[in-house]
Amino acid sequence: MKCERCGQREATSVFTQTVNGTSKTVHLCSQCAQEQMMGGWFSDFGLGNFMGLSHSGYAPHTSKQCPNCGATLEEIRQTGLVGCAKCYETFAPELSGTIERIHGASAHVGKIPSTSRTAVQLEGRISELKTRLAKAVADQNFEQAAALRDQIRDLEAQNQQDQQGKEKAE
Amino acid sequence: MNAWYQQTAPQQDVVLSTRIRLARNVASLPFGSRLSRDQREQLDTQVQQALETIHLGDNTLSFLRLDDMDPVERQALVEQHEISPDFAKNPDGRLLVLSQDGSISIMVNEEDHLRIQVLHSGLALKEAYELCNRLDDVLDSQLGFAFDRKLGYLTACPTNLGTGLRASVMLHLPGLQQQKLISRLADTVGKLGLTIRGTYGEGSGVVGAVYQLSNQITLGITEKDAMENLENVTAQIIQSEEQARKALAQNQTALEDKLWRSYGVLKNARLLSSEECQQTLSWVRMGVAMKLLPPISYSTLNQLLLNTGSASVCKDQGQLLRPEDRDKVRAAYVRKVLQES
Repeated sequence: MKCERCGQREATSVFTQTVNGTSKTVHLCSQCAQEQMMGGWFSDFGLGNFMGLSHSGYAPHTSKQCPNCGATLEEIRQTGLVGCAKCYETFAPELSGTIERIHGASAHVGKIPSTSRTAVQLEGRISELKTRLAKAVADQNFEQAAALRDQIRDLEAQNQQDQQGKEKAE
Repeated sequence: MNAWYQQTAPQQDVVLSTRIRLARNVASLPFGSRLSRDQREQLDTQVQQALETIHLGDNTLSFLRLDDMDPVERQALVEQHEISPDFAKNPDGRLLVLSQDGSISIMVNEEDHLRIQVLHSGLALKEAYELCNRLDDVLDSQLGFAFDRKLGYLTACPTNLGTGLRASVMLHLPGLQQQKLISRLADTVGKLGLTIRGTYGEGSGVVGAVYQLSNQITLGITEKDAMENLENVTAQIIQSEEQARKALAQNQTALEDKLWRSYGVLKNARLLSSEECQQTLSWVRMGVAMKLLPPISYSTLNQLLLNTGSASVCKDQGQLLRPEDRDKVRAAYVRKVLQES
């Protein structure tokens, strides 16, 4: 039997790859088997899995194009990749559902780069978290409350640091 | 200078290594495939300039154009987890920033403009993240990364939106694999927003028992929470693995026979295929961890695991040798390293 990956050399190994309990079996030659084993860190999921559109007769409903890079929705669906930062704005209505399905959330709560960090933004985030904290306490969800309290503390420290940085600069 | 995998770190009996990766894009440029060759090279230059100011002590950075490397050299970097297979396959206009000890590798013009990666031996999420975060700050101040208040760091693939963080640990789980507990483990971690993946042969043809555990979600979770979650689950897996190893040791003679045979193969074989090498290394690593074999440092075991891929053993020859010649070179390399250790 020929290797299922390169289609050229004779297959010498049977490989089963398991991702979250779903197994896929392939027959590989020794060289492809080697590459398969080594690619571990980097073999991320394609977006196709999540959009469920890469496999069958999807007909484009729109000819919408990103004014910045020229990417179309159809291209994004095929490759699973957007064309530029602006695409997320252009295709927000089409992409938001997918993004939420992938992550189970729609808003960033992690690091804010200092270049785009303003006191207003930080304070906005802090007050949003405080609202969530009050709700968590009311629901007696103390584990979540503790996590939120930590986040608030981190952001307040960040805010203070920024203020001090600015004072120094002035 | 010692290589990154020669650092001592906690939990090396089960955790081979830790990786932190941040996906970043320059706000003013189109993403990945939409860049012209000129724009790619400009970006390479900008990254190089941005990093000139950073102080990393003796761990100096090299700037390597992928076009200038031969394919074997690139493949060896894949085997050593420094770059992705895709990055090696299409070298056009791509730049690799690599620190002397290999702990820092920044892929420029991968799927995202930058993939900032830090590797550490054993379980060391915090250390690896701190260094990665520092590199991120320096690069951001010079290049200006695409960031949106609601969606966080903007990435070519929506699966990386938000923090752009992929935190992973490479786990050595021969005990759980022997006990056929991996698929149950996979179901459990899947529910916790993590992914475990491993590649192994069918039936007895298990290769290396190496599994990668990483966070799957990047939006709506902080870096700290994502890493804590990963660390907690890792701690539990380590416990289960240790129990599974104890269970294997109940049949002590059979286990010791297996371990000592593997030890014998590594020390004496004249022909060693990649698969046999990984498999015997796996048994020997477990045997050393369980103190059923003579001590060999994790530094040496890591070195053997990372430097015995097909391209890595042929690197000095400048071309990929025929499989039987490779097996000979590999066997000689393993014997030499074990003799010197």
